[in-house]
Amino acid sequence: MPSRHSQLRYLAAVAEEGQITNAARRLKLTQPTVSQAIAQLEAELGIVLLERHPRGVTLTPAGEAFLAKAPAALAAERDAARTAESLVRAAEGALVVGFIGPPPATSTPELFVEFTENHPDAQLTFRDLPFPCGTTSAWLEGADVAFCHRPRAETGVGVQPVRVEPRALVAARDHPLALRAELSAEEILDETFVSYGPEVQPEWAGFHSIDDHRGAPPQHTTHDHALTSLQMLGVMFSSRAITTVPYADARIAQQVLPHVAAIPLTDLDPAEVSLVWRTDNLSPMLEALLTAAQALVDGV
Amino acid sequence: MEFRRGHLRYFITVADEEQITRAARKLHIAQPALSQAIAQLESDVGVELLTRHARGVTLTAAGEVFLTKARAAVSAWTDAVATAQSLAQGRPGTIEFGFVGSPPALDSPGPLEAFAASHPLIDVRYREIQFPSLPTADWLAEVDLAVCHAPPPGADTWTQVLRREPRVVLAPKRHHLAEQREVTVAEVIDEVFIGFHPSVEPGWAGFWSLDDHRGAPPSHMTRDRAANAQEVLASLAARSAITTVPASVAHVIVNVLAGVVAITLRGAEPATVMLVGREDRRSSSVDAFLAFAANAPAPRSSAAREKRRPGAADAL
Repeated sequence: MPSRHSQLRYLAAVAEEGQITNAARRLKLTQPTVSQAIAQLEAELGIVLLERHPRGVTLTPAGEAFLAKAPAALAAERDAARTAESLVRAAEGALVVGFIGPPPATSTPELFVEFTENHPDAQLTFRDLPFPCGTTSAWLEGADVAFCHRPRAETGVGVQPVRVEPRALVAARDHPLALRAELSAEEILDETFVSYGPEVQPEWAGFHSIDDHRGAPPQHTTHDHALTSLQMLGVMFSSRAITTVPYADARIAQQVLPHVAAIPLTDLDPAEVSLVWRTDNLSPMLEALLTAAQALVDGV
Repeated sequence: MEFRRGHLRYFITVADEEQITRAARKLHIAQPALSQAIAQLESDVGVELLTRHARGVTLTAAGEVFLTKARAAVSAWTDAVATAQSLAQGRPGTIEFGFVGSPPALDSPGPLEAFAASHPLIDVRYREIQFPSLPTADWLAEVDLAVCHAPPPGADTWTQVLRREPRVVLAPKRHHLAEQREVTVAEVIDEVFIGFHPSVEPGWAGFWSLDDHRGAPPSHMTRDRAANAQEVLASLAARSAITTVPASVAHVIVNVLAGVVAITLRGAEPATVMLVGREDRRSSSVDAFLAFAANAPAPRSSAAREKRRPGAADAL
């Protein structure tokens, strides 16, 4: 039996093409495969989704409604599957630590190096995450915990600060601002900022473009969008734009990439580099990591 | 990863009922099948979701977490399906529903009642039609669809299998076989069978006199020219001849006609009951019925037939 995902993909293609034959060609499948998959879906649901005409097919109103609502249901099912994966990791003592920017063990060795020493059984896996898109909990799906500055706050998502530090400007070394020892927010407000993809959480993008200080998005942004930290550096170089990141991350970028300048910003609200997790995550290793992070903050 | 169809809903019901047996009853499935499905789900998930006790089951901590997600997924699917169904039911229409022999609502009322309940705007009108004649499309000219055992194939017609059921021998009470509870094909193959009208498609008529097993028409047939079920019954009542019918039809007839008995027939190929209709009469109402029929559970036997309403949840 084809998966629900396939059935929906076929139905969507048929609806767009208005013809099963053309949809099958587009999907690189045979026409009977597509017809049967849709007929089977109709039979399973007890609902006619396609109206068959002599020269093609159109969605029935029921089919339109189903096609509009089914993706959310499929996403909810995928969410359940991701939860299942995290439950398995919890049972096995495995922990996937997502991160944005430099690897956590380089920026915050006092937490991660010590944690792995104190928990030799913990199977820690580090995963490079894209910038948060959509809901924070959906973005967290592949990881037990993320290490980054704050994404959008949500119920069901826990946030625990690990470091509070100033923000820093990141620019190419030959950028006019790169010669300064430090900068105020006022001095960079009207620069061209790296643009973030429209799907990136506006709170996240706004933090990098100091929208919190300006009260609005920057006037000038690049044509290119960045969805990951590496893309952010790429866009910064190619478009001669600037952006801001937590100071420790900027310093690491500067050490690794000789053409990057990191300049502290003196008067911006600081960045809270935090652990972010879904509160329904039962992993004992997560619990242990949160305890270790809290001890670090408390100076124990 | 997608979960197997129905498994999330099964798990939710088991969690709510705290007992596999009670959950199985509520879900209208056999208890071993439910236990197996839950075990399969746990293996797919990769962790134990339930703790088994002597008196039932409780959720593990992982099960509690997973239950929340399973509920969200199932309710999202239910919403998608229910919304679509409410729109599907919103289209008025009629179905001229043909039948051959006993009225379909008598031999399996559950699905037809359920269809009427879930599609209140579609009027179903029942019409008795003659036994199949050729061309098939002409035989079906007056109806949108008909329910009939293996109708003759024809150009411009569609078919959909409804169910398979055993053939049963019908005999008048005074017939020498009437005392038997069951007979084999070999024991009845040389009996006198009821004759059909020449207009009735010979392959179709021959099925009822077991020509498929004999490879030829019976050597002895009555001189009846039955062209519909009433005429077959009239002949049965008047003569000492037999015929065979699908079990569900026999069940109705023996309840109506005191003078006729039904005898289990061993070793005969089953009868395939089908829906059939003309392509040019295939409307959205007919499509709705076909989709519904494909989804409806096949009745197991006349006695054990459940009045079960298939709905959105069954598809999940």
